[in-house]
Amino acid sequence: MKAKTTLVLNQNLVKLLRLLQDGQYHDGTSIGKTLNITRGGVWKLIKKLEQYQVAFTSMKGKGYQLNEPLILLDGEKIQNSLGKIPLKIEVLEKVDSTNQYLKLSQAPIEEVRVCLSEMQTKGRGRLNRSWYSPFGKNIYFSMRYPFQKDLSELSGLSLVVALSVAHTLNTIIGFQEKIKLKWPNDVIVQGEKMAGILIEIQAESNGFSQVVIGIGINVNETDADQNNITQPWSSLKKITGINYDRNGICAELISKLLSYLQRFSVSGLSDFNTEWQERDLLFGKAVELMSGNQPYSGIAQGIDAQGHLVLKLADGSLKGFSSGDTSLRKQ
Amino acid sequence: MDVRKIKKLIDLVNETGISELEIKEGEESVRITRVGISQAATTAPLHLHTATPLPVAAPSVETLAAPEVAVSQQHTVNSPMVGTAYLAPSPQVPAFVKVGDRVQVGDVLCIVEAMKMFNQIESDIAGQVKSILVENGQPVEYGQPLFVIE
Repeated sequence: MKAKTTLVLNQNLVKLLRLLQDGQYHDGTSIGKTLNITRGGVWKLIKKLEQYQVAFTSMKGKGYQLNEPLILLDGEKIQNSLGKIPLKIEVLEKVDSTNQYLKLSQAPIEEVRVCLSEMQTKGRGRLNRSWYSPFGKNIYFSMRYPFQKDLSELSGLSLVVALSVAHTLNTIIGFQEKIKLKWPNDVIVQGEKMAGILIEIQAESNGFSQVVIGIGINVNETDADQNNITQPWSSLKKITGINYDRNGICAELISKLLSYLQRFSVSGLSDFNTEWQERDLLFGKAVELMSGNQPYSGIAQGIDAQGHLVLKLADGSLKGFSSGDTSLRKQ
Repeated sequence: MDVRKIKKLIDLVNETGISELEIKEGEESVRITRVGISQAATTAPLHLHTATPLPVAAPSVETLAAPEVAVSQQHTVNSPMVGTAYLAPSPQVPAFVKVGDRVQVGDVLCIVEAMKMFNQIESDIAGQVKSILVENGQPVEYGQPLFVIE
């Protein structure tokens, strides 16, 4: 049987993990009774956990026990903590990519949509670089958002989204450790990447633009296979040692993101200048930037009105860049 | 000016049967002229000029076997934003299109990226890719022509 690429989150799986949450052993019979499913049904769920590489112990006669706490995503819980915000949240068990899912969504274009998935089979970042997306550990989030703006007015959106993510994460871990942003939107803690953002513009016509904002946040990941990730990474748990219920973080993220997007819609990028300066990792530093195949180096001077990175080049001139890979020059 | 808008204007000219239409919008202007072919009133070749409204040279009237449209429409697909053009989805895979390919409306031609915002540039007409005007990874300006589709 060919595995389906998109699966809605199995509610029995949610219930099973809720049951195992106490860290005690539960045997197949009692699980079946609580969930009101057959022994075969329980076995299928356990197989799923195995397949998704959820760490648990199975002992003959005693049953199953989770090795570490795992609370699955819960759309209703997120919705409830958001209050009356009109928003449709879809929670998936597995999808190729949450961005791709929303790009193909047939929902009315004026609706704000959110998609969350427990895992992604083709999670990706810039230029199809893969984004490591194992089951249940992190947040793989996408929002489709309509703008009554022309595409040319959306310059800077990337930075605004990054600011909202940084603010969300600082709310979670506290403000003593300032989360930094590496232009345009890498979310960095102690020099390591904690979250990534990918924005895709889906349609634009007659001054109306629709964007799909993809956000990946490393949450409870602590021991990812280093072969799967090519750059230094961090996670919320690595910083604080706490195992998080991702639902609370998702609610915080949605609420912050919506409020930042609203502000950007009304006031534009200029409203965020101070905030950007406070989080700008590159400011005043010697930076190398690859623009296409052309390398540049200079001292970062912050951003211009469009949100482009401004470098002071060796000859003293200032040059703005709308895209490119940046790295800090080793002194 | 948005090519879709121009296309709409062409349709308008065709539908109404007027012989010429000129629209000015800021610094841009477009003039669409129906060159009358007296013996074939049904369909007429269109000449499309964007940006600079030059007088339209009358085509040599050739006797056409069928009353088909002899449309010489050179469409350019332009960049909707400042950024970097990518002709392939990732460095390891082939380009979205190459010269000579036939494309349909909605086919992806390239991606323009700025500050990690990705915009898939789709063809707004069906036709053949006549030329690709940018290189992979090249910075592009707002409105810069990227492709010629014929």
